[in-house]
Amino acid sequence: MVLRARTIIWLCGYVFIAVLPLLLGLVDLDPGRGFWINFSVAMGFVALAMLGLQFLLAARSRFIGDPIGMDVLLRYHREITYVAALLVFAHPIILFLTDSRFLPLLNVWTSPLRAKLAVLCVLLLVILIITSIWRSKFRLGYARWQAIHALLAVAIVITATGHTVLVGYYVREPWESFLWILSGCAFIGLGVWVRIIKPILRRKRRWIVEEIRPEAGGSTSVSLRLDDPESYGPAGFNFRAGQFAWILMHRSPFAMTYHPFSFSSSAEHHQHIQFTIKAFGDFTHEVAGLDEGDVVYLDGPYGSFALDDDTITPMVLIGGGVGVTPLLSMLETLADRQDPRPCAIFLANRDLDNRTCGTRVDAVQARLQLTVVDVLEQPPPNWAGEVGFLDERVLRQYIPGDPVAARYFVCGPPGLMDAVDKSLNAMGVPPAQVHAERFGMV
Amino acid sequence: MKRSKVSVPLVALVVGAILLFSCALWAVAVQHIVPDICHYPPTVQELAGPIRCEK
Repeated sequence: MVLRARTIIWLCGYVFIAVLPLLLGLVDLDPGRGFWINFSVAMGFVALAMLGLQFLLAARSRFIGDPIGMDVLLRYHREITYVAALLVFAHPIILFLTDSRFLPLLNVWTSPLRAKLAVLCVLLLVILIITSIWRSKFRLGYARWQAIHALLAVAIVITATGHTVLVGYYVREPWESFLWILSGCAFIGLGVWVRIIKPILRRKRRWIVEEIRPEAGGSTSVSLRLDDPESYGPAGFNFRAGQFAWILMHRSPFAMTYHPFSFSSSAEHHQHIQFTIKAFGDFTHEVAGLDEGDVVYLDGPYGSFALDDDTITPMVLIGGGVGVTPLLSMLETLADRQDPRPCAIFLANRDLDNRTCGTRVDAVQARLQLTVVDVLEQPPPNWAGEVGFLDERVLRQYIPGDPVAARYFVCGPPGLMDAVDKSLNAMGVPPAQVHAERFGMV
Repeated sequence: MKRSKVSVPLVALVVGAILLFSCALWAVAVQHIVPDICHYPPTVQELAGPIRCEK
């Protein structure tokens, strides 16, 4: 199924679940209270369903994430929060504008519990949004922010559900109240599954650090071996080249500090894997501090930015900086499979010192029909390769065969992604043939 | 994932618009299904207890 159809079906499913409370609310209706109050109540219902759905979006479920891509899913999780917040804020504002006699409900000293819970819910949501947008300004480390984020999210759903059930309007029937409480528990249960049950299962799946190797551009390659090959069951651990996993190091599997990184090794070697990680922030700096024999936990693999079973179509890989890592995994996988098709890889970097995994790309070139094209912004003296930024001219010059017939895998910083997107558009490459993954999805 | 020309914020905006429209539609539907006979908002006396409306 093409991406557009999958995305539309996915979005229809999302909208259906978000409006489901309204559909259920039509059964055994309480007397109406005028358009504006009904409109306001509807926004409250939908907002609560959306806040619950946020747990589903963040649950790292392959069923939910693979149809549209995990990076898009997490960006959607972030963007749709603003819509949910808008509905949450609009819900009381419309009530106050419709009738000023609602205003005393804001006085938490005299108001009933249902109103107290509503005020608390809105305050918590404001704190959640502020700490997410300005995390770096508040100097919140990723781990601490994740813990705060999870606790706030649970508290928001509990207070909002409590408010809905206590108000009771349109949910007065016992089965309606039961459904609201059940759905709230289900969404929070998802969080418990991700944060508690899955880590318990993961305790047996220990990966041991075999080798730490510094790479160009401040990156580090970490090689891991599975401690107990039987721990993933009869099928064993498998991933597709280009996918990623959430990694945890130096902590118990119950810690919340998992970070997503792409595999950089061949998918043909399932029990010996490698990640290449660039030191960007608090966690990535820890990578250099790993020692051989340390234990690492993985949650994954995830992602639809991956090689499939196609063995014919020419492949063009385009990477910027550490974005080369999933592409390297693809190349090494193709080499292990002795894939004969023509391929090209474009490496866009600032200079040669930042050519992450460049030597490994050069090494795999001998095992494939591969063209390696380096594009440097600041080339060394006597540089014979391409200079400046990757553009349509460079792509056209080196792509093997007809550019429209090739498949593209693009991974890198936003500037590179936008430039490549523009160039491929100009070259008439159909969007369905372009696979892209952006950095910084969390 | 494969490239999409539609941006995620735009998709979220469209989903938001659809949901907002659904809320308005629901409010209109409720008005047509049941009469508006509930005395709302609650009086000060009612603030302390659950809201009751006559069917």
